[in-house]
Amino acid sequence: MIKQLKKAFVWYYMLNKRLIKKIGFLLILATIPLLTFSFTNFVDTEETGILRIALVAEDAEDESAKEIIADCESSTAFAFEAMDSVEDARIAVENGSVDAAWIFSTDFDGKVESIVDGGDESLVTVYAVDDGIFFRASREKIFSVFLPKISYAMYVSHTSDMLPEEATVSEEELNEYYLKYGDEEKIIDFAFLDSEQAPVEDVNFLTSTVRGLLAAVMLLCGLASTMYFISDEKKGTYSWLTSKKRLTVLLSSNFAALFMAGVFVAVSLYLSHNFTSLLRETVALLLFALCASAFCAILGAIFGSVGRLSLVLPTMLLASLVLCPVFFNINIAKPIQVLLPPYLYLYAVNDIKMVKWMVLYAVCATAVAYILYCVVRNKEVPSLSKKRG
Amino acid sequence: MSKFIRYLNAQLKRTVKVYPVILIFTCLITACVMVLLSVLLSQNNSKEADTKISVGLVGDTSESYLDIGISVIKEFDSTKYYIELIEMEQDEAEKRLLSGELMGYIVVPEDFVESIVSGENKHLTYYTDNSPATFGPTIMNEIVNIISDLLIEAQSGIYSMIDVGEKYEVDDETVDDAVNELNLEYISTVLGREGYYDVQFIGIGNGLGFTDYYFYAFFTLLLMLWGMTCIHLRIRTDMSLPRLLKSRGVGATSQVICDYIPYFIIMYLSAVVLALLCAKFGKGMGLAFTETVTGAGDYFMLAVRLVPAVAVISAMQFLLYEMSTNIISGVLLQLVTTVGLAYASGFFYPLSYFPKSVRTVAEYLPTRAVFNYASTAFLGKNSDALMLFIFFVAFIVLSVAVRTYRMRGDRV
Repeated sequence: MIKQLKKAFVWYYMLNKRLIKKIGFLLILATIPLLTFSFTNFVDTEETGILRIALVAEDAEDESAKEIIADCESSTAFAFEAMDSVEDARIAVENGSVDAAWIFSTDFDGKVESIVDGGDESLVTVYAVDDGIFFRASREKIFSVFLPKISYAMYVSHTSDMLPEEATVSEEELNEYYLKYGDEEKIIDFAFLDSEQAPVEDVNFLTSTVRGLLAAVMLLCGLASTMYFISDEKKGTYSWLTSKKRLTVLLSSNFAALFMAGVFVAVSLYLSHNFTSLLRETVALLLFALCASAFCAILGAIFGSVGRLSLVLPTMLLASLVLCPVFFNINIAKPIQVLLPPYLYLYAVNDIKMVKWMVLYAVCATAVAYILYCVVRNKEVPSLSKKRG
Repeated sequence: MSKFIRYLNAQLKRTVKVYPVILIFTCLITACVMVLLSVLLSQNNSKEADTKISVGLVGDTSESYLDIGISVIKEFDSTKYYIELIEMEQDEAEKRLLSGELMGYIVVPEDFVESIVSGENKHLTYYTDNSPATFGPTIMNEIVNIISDLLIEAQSGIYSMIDVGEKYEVDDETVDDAVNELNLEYISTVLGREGYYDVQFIGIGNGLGFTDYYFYAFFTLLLMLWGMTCIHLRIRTDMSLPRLLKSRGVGATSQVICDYIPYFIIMYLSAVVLALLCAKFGKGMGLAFTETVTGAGDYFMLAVRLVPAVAVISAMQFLLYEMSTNIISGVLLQLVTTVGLAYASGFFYPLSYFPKSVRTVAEYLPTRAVFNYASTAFLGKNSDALMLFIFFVAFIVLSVAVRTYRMRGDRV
């Protein structure tokens, strides 16, 4: 057993030798967990939000507006920032330090009363530079911020109208009744299809991108391994091997490089609070390494030289970052998206059903690599063993 | 001096020779980035019917009040402009959620409305896409919470009114009428909520709209990606020639300048062509600078103003190439640096999404400096290029230092 382990380790070292010897490469891998850890710490300890919104009371003395501003709690979607004057808020929107500003108008309570009496009043002025989907969603938030005021005023008005004239009910009593129901728990539960997923309040969109970025880095490691293989092959290092055996070496060295990167990735995921469970992460990363090994071998067979491959890499990286759900979830070219291993991996981590597709992908991609390598490349790269044969 | 000119001439000739290949890959990368940019911009433009957030509605929606409520939301509510409710079976909803067609789906339990009326409050469940790292769940969670709050506020008002009515022995008919009135007023308030706030789209100062922001971000990203097409030209695996040149009087500084100039020209040509094409044909994309850059003089000035931006990015990449001893490490270094700097500079997510400390650090990154410069230079405004100048000098000086070090026979 120990002998076999030793043999496996020697093989692993042999396959990874080129990469392990590169201090720069190891440094890049080692800094990844450090960077993700520091970044996660920043994000966890400081306020972040998709939109930064400035809050200002037009009349600095208006208690009602001040109370609403104080009650606005930042979330992962909207980060609120109280400001002192309308002018400051306007300038902040103009210079881009905030995305929007909400200006709560003067005599807020008076205007709410007027609305309840059927008046047409504007309670908030919004300064924005855009009207995209997030800005529209933020405006729903404005309404929910001042709705309690309107709702309460409506309840008081209608209840007073309902009661007979002789009934005397105090404001405190009405308030007491109203507050009794204020602590109701939320009527809509938020759930992921996957029960192991963290509650959405715990998921920060900034740290959750870490997984996608790490997948792209892993793919790069696989491609680097393929380039080293091609470079060695051109030098004649593998001349004594048949094409079939060369493909085995290529796939194994790609897998070995991806496995090494996978270990650093797993540590980074743990440090960035993106780690789900040991079994799930291990299975997903191993399958990703298999798929990516075959994918890189296919690219190696198609482009055939380090130079050509290096020219394709930027496009490949960009496609991995944009077409796979790393930053955005774009569904435009599904047939192309599913060909990218990070796409399958990012879904498989969250949806166990995708695992079978990864297995299928790994098998098919290996078959394609075999055909390309043994049929197409066989003619291009001379083999000593073939000559001998 | 003549040796300097001769070496520069040789470098220019060498560049011209490989330029067709560089151009092909430059066009390929540009096309990819432009397609991605247009997809991204169209996703943000929720006025387009096909960019609505699609949400499935499954379960018991047959109750008359719920049915009316759903129809009202679909027809009259302002959310109809960005949320599309689609009724379907749970299996289909799950399938469409996994395929990315739906952002999520809401499961309505049996007798939901009845439970709300009686105060039992059965819960709706919003199932979201378990896809990784997107804004969808974050925004939808916010909207779901808002809807939940609205329902609770309305319930508080109605139940409290019923309680008060009971306490003061108001007859049932009067209470029912009052409840109906209050209900209708709540519904009318919710549907007319857009009337309670004025939205003013203020002119863009230094702040950028979504379209402009991503245009400048992707422009800077493109500058970095284009640089990678010159990898064959720039990676030096063997230092024999630099050593020979040095022995003939062309020192490290002259070599670096002569090597840098053709590289800069290639990058600059691509940048100018793209900028002018966008200025000429980018009106449909809603880019602000297309309004100010209109005549030949504006085009010329835009081309001139691009010089510092291109110079800094090309000098930065030049330094990375100097540090690389072979193509593979060169490619890896370039790619990792590009992704890292682009992410930290807010090219994928706007910088305003990041915590303050990251934003502070980002302002000192060369890529962010180029982004800031480009966002004002394109608009024809005076841009402060001092920071770019400092970066440029630093990169060139470091490149000379690395070249000198490598010529001594050591490897970095």
